[in-house]
Amino acid sequence: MPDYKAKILIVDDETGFTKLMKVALSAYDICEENNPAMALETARKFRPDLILLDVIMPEIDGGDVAARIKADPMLQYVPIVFLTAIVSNKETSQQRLFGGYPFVAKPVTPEKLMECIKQNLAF
Amino acid sequence: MWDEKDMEHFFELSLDMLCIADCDGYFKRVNPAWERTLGYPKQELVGRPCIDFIHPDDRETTMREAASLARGLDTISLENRYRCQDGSYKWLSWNAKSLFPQQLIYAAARDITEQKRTEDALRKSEERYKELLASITDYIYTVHFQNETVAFTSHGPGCLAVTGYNPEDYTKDPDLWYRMVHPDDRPAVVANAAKMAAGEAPPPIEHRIFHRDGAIRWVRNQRVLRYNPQGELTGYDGLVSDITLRKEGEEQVQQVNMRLRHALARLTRSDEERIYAQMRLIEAEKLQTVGRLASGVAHEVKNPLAVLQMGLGCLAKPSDTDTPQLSLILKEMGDAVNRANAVVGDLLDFAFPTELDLRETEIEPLIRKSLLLVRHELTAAKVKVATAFGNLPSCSLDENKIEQVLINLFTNACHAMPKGGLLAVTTRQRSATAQEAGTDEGDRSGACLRAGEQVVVIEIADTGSGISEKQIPRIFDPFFTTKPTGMGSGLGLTVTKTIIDLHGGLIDIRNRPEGGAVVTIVLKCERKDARL
Repeated sequence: MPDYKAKILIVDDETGFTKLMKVALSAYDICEENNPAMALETARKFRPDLILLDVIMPEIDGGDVAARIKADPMLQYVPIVFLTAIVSNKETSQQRLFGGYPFVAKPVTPEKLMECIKQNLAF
Repeated sequence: MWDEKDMEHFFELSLDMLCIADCDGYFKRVNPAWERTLGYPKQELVGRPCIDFIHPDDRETTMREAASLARGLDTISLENRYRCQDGSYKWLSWNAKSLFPQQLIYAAARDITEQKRTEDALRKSEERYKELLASITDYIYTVHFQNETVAFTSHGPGCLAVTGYNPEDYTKDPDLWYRMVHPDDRPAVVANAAKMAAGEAPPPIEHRIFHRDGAIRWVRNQRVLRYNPQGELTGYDGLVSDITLRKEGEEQVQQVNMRLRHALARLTRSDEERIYAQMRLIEAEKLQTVGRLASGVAHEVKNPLAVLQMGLGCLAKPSDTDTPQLSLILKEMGDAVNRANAVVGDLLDFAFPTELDLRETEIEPLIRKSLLLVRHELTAAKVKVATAFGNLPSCSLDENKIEQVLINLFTNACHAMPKGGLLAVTTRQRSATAQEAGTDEGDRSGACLRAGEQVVVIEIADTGSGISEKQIPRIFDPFFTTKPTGMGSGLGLTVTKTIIDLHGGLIDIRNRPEGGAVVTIVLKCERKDARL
């Protein structure tokens, strides 16, 4: 039986980034969602083990998406990690972001990202 | 005992006018004094009603008095005017008595015309005197010295009007002058006078006095010293002027000044507060803008960097890279670099706008050229184009920059209509409204529109979904974008507005009632005196 590939949902409006991430993180089963408005629906369908959320997105920002996910009974226990470009050098050293969510600062190497995912997966 | 003959004599002799009248007021008998005084012979009076001869203004009073006689009052006395034969009037003073059983009135009248005239003249003279007195505001007093001490002081008659005391009062009471001075002003007056003792001519001094009637008046005391050939002070003349009115006026002016000063201080304070508040607001907005700018830059640069970083990671992995993936990776990385570069470039454009290269340009060909440049995007989005060009004069424009603006706006319109639609571009010439001339916020060129001057208006309308009202005020803000990351830097409209501002024009975006949005650009026509 092949190793179980953890399912990662990436919600980020930057298509180049999500495409390359899918290539770089081939160890995981990655679902790209570039439209934050669709994030909740996609998450319900995909049933990810972890969600990577960009913060600054048009129409709806990452915070709103996180709130919606947490409000959904099916998804409320899925770990969320924020991916954000808006961090100063000072903030990068912090562990947690608003709402106590873990975050990763962009730009990020695939290795670092994988490490972060491993840390936050429930299993 | 009196007998009739005596009465007869006295009646005829009397200098006063005597008469007998019946209760209806008709003369029954008059003495010769009537003819002497009024000029009428007896026959013209007897049998006539007295009222006929009385001055119209006095008739009512006379009749009232006569009525009291008829009512039973014993005697009356009154004054009235009787008409003389020559038409003039004389004042008569009457005593009259009625006798009832006989139903007769006995009356005696004295000619008081002269007396009345004298009274009148006196009254008029008094009035004139009072007026004159009231208008006197100055008087002169003279101080005579003997052996360098004050011998006596004489006061001019005007002192009565100014101080209420007459000259004799001053002579009788040498201290009167000092007592008149207001206690608060006495030290200054004394000091002023002391200068004379020191041999100096004292400067005029203004101080208060108590007028005899108790009122406080302001006076100005000015002295002229007199010396003998030996240089000794022999006396001095003082001119005292009532300056109450001026002082009151001064005080009023001072009060008004103070009120004005307070009002000014309040205004200045509130003005300062307002300016301070405005500065704070501008600072806050600047900080916000800087913050926004910084965030925008971070986002627009870090995202491409994130792509690069991810791509490098992919490339570093030896086995997983196959050719189609490799070209994908390299393409995305290349695109990211270009995007980051473009954003930084735009940012620099926004922060440091370059000098405009202004030339006389025709707008219509420029619009057509820009439409051509975006033709590909338009067809891909299934957007139709409609143009309507008015008869336009040339404008002083930087062709490249305006082309950039047009392309930006056409592209935006295109993106607003992902499922197709109509892009309508119209131009026309008109004169600038006062409202348009009034807006110069954000103007950097200093060359605003003037009301009434000829302008060219370009309208670019789309049939997209429009812009939410909340977002419209921020539409030109740097990095404010309604598009997803990667599609536009959020600086497009910001740079567009900067370019239009530099041209001294106006740009406005609003929703159309029929749906979609319309961008209106107003540009100056070629100004002969333009030196931009």
